Amino acid sequence: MEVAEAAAGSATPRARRRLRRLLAGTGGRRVQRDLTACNRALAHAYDTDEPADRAVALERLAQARASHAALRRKLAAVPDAGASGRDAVAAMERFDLALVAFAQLLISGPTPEALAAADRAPDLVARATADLVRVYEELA
Amino acid sequence: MNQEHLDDLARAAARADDLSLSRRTAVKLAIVAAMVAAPFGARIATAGAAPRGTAQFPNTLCLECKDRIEQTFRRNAARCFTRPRIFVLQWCAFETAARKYIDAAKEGCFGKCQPLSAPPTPVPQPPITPQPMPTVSDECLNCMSVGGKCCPPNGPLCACANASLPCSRYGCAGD
Repeated sequence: MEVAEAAAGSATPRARRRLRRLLAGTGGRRVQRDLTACNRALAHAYDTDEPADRAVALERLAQARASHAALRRKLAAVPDAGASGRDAVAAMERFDLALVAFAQLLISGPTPEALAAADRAPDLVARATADLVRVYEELA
Repeated sequence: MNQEHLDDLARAAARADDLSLSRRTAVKLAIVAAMVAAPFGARIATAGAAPRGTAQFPNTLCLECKDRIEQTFRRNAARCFTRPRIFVLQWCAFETAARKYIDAAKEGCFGKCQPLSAPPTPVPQPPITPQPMPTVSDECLNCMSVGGKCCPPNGPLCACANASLPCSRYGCAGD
């Protein structure tokens, strides 16, 4: 029955529980913690505009990327997760692309390339957020 | 409103997810109201302070640009607190903070507002006084009275009719 559900695109109950735990549990909390640190560093670097503060913000961005990658791997490893699992993994990949784009803007400043990449980031984030919220609510 | 305050509000919003729908809505609305009502000018006012000892002026256009971005940031940040408690709330806050950089880059105030150097101070010009009429020496007047020509034009010498000869007090040298 569970295998049939997964084949049809919906996650099995066990996979749903596992996905939900990953998103709201330890993996998700680590992402939360790293993003919060990142926010603080970004806001501080914006205010001071000191290269050292910008370097700290970049370091926090790298940490956030690492925790996103770890969560993405765990989500991808959930068996029989169906479309929910795939969508969650795709959302994490979009978040990662957005992190890279923001990092590029911090590194190279407002060059046309960095600006064009960063300009696409909000759409990536919006789509990833919408997908993840939908998946999370479907899992409930 | 500083980042720590924002984080506190984010935590309060996350905790509110455990409450009933009406209480959760009440808490989140209160948070949004707090975000919108908080004063924000103080931090911006320090941007672009001139270095000590230099006569410089705040870059008003840049500061205004930063001010607009700060207002947009606050509006966007207030929307984040309607997110569920998973990390999309932090993502919303992160994206809002990152968007400040994008907006600043687009609007031309990326980085710190550099104070403008002092506008050039006008160099005081000496008052224009009427040029005194050239005085003509007595010798020149005498020279002219006998049909001669002052040499140089105001005297005191008298020019010789023969231009190849030098001027002298007494007319042509050698006369």
